[in-house]
Amino acid sequence: MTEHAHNISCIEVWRYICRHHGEDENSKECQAVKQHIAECPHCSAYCDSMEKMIGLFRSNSPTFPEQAKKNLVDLLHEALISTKDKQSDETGNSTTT
Amino acid sequence: MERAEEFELIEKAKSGDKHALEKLVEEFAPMVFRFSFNVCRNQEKAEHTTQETFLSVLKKLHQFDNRSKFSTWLYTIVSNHCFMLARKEKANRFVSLDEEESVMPEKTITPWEESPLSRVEQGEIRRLLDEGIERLSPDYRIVFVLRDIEGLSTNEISKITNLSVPAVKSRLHRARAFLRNFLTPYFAEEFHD
Ligand SMILES: [Zn+2]
Repeated sequence: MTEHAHNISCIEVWRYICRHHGEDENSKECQAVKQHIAECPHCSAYCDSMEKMIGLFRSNSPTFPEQAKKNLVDLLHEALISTKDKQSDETGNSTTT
Repeated sequence: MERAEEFELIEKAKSGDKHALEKLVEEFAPMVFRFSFNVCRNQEKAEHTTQETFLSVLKKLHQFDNRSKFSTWLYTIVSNHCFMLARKEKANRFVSLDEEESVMPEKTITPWEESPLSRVEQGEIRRLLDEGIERLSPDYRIVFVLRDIEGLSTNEISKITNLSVPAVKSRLHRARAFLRNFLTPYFAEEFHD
């Protein structure tokens, strides 16, 4: 645990990351946090490992299989046809009554 | 896809245009499938959830008013389907992330290897990622996947999940910290040297 750049501690940096998640790029606090991370081996290793963890999930995301796409389109066509049938039944009924 | 093009396609699909519906599948099903897979970590379940999501879309398309992005609306529907599916899992498998202690990093940070993919076998990586996600309860999984894999803002996630922005941020932080801590023994430098 270190306390150096701008007198903020690693724990404060982690709490800050928790609050903002990089959506607060221009604030003074963000600049201080960035500087702390750049100078602190703990925090830079922490952020680096976090990025690598997220990268693992991203690079291991599967693509949508062609067969699954075909099945889905078929399923939706069937559903569409049965909805249309139902609708025409209903309109048919309403005209006769 | 441009917003205007998306709008036109949705309008056509609403009126029962088969080709417009196919185009919507082409455009958005890969996203829905990727999201489902990352939340439930199972190909079959992901395909099933993708089908359920598009059947819901077909049923509710007339309710979609174009004020929000179509993708945001889809994420809301697919999140609900994933949530229902995950709720059937045994809740006692989920890790408790309520205490700050459980998500604090180790006292001395263990750096990860330069390329974490190089030494652990591909099949083993898949298994570890599955195990990590499966330990998270569904609300943590959904927030993590929406933000870190799908790249949505915390504001969008708040709309999709009905959680406040601070609640989204807190869940995201805890999920990330848990996954990092969980995976560190397998991908850290010192464990291999
Ligand atoms: Zn630090």
